[in-house]
Amino acid sequence: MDHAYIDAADIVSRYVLRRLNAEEEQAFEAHFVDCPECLDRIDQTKRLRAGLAALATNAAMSPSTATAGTSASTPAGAGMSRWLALAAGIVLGAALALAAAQIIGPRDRDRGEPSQQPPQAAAPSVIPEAVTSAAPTADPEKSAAVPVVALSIVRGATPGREAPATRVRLPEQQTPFVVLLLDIGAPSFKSYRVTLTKIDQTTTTDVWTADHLSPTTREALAVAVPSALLHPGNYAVRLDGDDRAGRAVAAGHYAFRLTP
Amino acid sequence: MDDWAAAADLVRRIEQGNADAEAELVSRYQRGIALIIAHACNDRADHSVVDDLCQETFRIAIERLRRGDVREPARLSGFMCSLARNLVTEHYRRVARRERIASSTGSNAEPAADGRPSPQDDIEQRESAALVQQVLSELSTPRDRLILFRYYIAEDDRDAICADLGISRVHFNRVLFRARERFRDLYQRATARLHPGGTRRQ
Repeated sequence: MDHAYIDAADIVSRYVLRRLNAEEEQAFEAHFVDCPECLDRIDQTKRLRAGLAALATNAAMSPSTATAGTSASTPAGAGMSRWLALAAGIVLGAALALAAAQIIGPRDRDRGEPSQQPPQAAAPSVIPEAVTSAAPTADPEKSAAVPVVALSIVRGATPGREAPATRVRLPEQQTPFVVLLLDIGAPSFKSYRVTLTKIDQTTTTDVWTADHLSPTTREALAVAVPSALLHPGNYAVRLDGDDRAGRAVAAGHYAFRLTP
Repeated sequence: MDDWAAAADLVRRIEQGNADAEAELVSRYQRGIALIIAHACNDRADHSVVDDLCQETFRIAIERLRRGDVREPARLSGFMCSLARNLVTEHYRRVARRERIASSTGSNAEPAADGRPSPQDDIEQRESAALVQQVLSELSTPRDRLILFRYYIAEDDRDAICADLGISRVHFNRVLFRARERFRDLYQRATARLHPGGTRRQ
């Protein structure tokens, strides 16, 4: 593998994003293991990505984002984990809010009734393809901020039909999607699957699922759920990790109640 | 001497018991092996775990090289990489075994330290975020900021981003290149300012 190919095929970024196949990854590692230039580039790309993730996490937790969209109250004593406290303490710009505001495009055709089948996320993305906009809005800075709901793992039994302690009020100004920020603690899996289930008096319905998700930060995973699928009521979120054999292993449960 | 011949020469000198050659091996591969191990641990392992695995990689490599066990000396880099990856796999097998035993015996043993950022990680993440914020503010259009966010955080496919935003691959690559270069420049300046004369952990 030479530098011309590495540049042309965007190997450095794809390595950092874990998008190389096993053969490419091994060939690149055999190249960069003693190539200071590539090592520098990998290091800088990782730092750039970590910085972007920190900005995104902070934007998700900043009061301006929360008050602009929705409010979420967590149970007393649940407490924010260390990463949330850290993120909240960092003074950063609203990069996520800005980026997300631009993603909120006028794609009305994607905002219809939810389908009978849970939509599948086609790509390993925190932003479902259905809500990504083809063009930036005319004035993205003035668009509504995307509601972000931070959820902590429910300890003990799987969430049932009892009312969840975490309550989330839907924003008056609807946005195409709501970001769920799941505290995953110490991540044990390379990729995850998230399933959102609506819990009614007599039925439970999987309304949305996404797989092949990577943690957004060391301790959190963000997913964007189309708002059109969310209606007042109780919800459970199931997080499964993919183990090395490709099997789904339960990694966490979350619950929240959406109020009008 | 090309890279392969240099590698073969290094292997030969270690086999002959040359201590300087062993130091050269460590100096040449240390940074890359640490990065490969961290990557194989999904970049979430405790730094002490990465350091231990790195040390173990070099201990085993030097033992084998001294014994002349490396069949293709010219492929030294590949040998070092495979060794590091195998040790990571073995490490996680041991961790999984320990956890199984702990859960079956109801042991209250402390969980492995993997996964939690160290205080130094926290500080570096804040520094990186501040630098990224500056990079973002210098990008010419909101669309260019969106490109970075979608590619590196949302992990959307490059072609999908180009199609959605109506931009060419050339423009996409240019934005990424400029952002990375600007970030590198800012990072190097910040490092020089905060750690004059010193080096930081890679």
